[in-house]
Amino acid sequence: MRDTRHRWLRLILGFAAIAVFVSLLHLGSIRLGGATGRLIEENRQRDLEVYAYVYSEVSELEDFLNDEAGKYGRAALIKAINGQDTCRP
Amino acid sequence: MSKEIEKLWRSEDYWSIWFAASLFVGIIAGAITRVPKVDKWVSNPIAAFPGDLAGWIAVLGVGLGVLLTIGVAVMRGDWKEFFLGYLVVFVLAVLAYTVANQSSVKAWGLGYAIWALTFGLLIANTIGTRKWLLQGARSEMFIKTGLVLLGGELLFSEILKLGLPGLLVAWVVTPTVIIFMWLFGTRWLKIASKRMVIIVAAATSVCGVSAAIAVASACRAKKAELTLAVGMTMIFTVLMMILMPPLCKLVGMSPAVAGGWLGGTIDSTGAVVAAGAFLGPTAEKVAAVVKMIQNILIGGVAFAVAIFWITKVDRDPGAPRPSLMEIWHRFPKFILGFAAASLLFSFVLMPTLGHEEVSGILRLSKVLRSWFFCLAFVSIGLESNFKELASQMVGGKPIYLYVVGQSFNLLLTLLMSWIAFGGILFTVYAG
Repeated sequence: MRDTRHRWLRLILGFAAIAVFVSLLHLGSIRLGGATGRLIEENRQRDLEVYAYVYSEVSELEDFLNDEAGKYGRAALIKAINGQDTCRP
Repeated sequence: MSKEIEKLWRSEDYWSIWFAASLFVGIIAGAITRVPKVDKWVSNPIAAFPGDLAGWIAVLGVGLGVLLTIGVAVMRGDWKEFFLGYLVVFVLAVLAYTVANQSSVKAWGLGYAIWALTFGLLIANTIGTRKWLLQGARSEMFIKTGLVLLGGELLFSEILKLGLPGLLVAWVVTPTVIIFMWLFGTRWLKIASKRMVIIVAAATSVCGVSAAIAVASACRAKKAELTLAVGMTMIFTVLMMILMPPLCKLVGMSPAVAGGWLGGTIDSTGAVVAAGAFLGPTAEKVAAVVKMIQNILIGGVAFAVAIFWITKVDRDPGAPRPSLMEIWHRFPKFILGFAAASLLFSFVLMPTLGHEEVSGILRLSKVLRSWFFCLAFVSIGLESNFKELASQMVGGKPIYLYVVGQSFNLLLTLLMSWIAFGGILFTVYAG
């Protein structure tokens, strides 16, 4: 009986630890500075747009290819690449 | 012969094809018009279920449960216990998606797979997984069904439109890295589990979680081997997503070369696009395109691994070469479903239904596929224990394999990206 109680307690503590981890990750992320902070903030802001295309591991080829007028089409890709500069800030 | 025919409705391999086919037919016929997914939230998890979303998710859970339970009943499984166990697995999958969709968790690239595994492992290693719950945790069945659904998303007909530079980066590097890691893991590190070596190699060189799942199923790996490979991949993906873009900026790398490098090396597509976006639209586009070309290799790699395992790895030394019939008997049949789905969508549905219609079908099947993978990871967690996982570490050799293989991948991809996108071979991409 005592052993069972301990097992359930460990389970509850495990879920609590996950909740604490997520809270700390969130609070830490919004206060994070430097390049990592910017990357995470950008991901947070852009997230919905990114996931519209790549919600899962394999993306929608069709959306990329047929969005010629927009962001991801092949024509747009080549145009963007030809007009590139370096990544240096 | 009659035994072989009986397998059509008695084996999980075939049922994964029937499940996926039923879902595809349901979508094409208009019976399935919506597949809900958990929404993004910031500070209040309730916000992940706006409006009637919770109700739709419940409908999805029960609907999939009924379909799967029919299959389990025909396979002569304990369908009552399965349905009960499945419902708990589905609730845990919803929980995993909810945590993964918290805005900061998502921004760090900690996807549903890692949370699904965590929740499963937490239950299995504290209160233990009850027998009835184990009946519902049919990880193999979920994985195989998800993989057949994934097949529809890989359209052969679109590959050529993506261009030679992307093909060069993705398709030269990927097989080279797999072969390098296989030789390094089996001959240099002498890792006893060859399955572990090939799963880590596929996850590193192709596209992380999906490739790991496909290859693990193709070589019939243990769940602990897949869990370890996926866990390692996800941790290193986060590190690479954070460290690589600032490094590209620091050395002043051209956006196209940087994009090719990120797309060819970071394992998850979401993380690739996120890292590419940090360097601007050009890097983002190149990174995403290279990653997508690489993703198409999943099916080919799984097929090749299945054949290699039957004809080489599992074959006794000195035994005669297996006959075509034996290869057929031992071949994981769901891979045929995977290939058939890809061919059907590429060469039958796309020309007949048209692009828009097919995109609509795939938008729904893709969300279904993600649910199946999430159910699979919860199930794997429920079936695993920490001791078994620790035994797979064998002195940290899998980590050593991953780090060395990924380092080789980084160098080779950088070289190929420079050749392909740096204006060396293809002037159209030069700045």
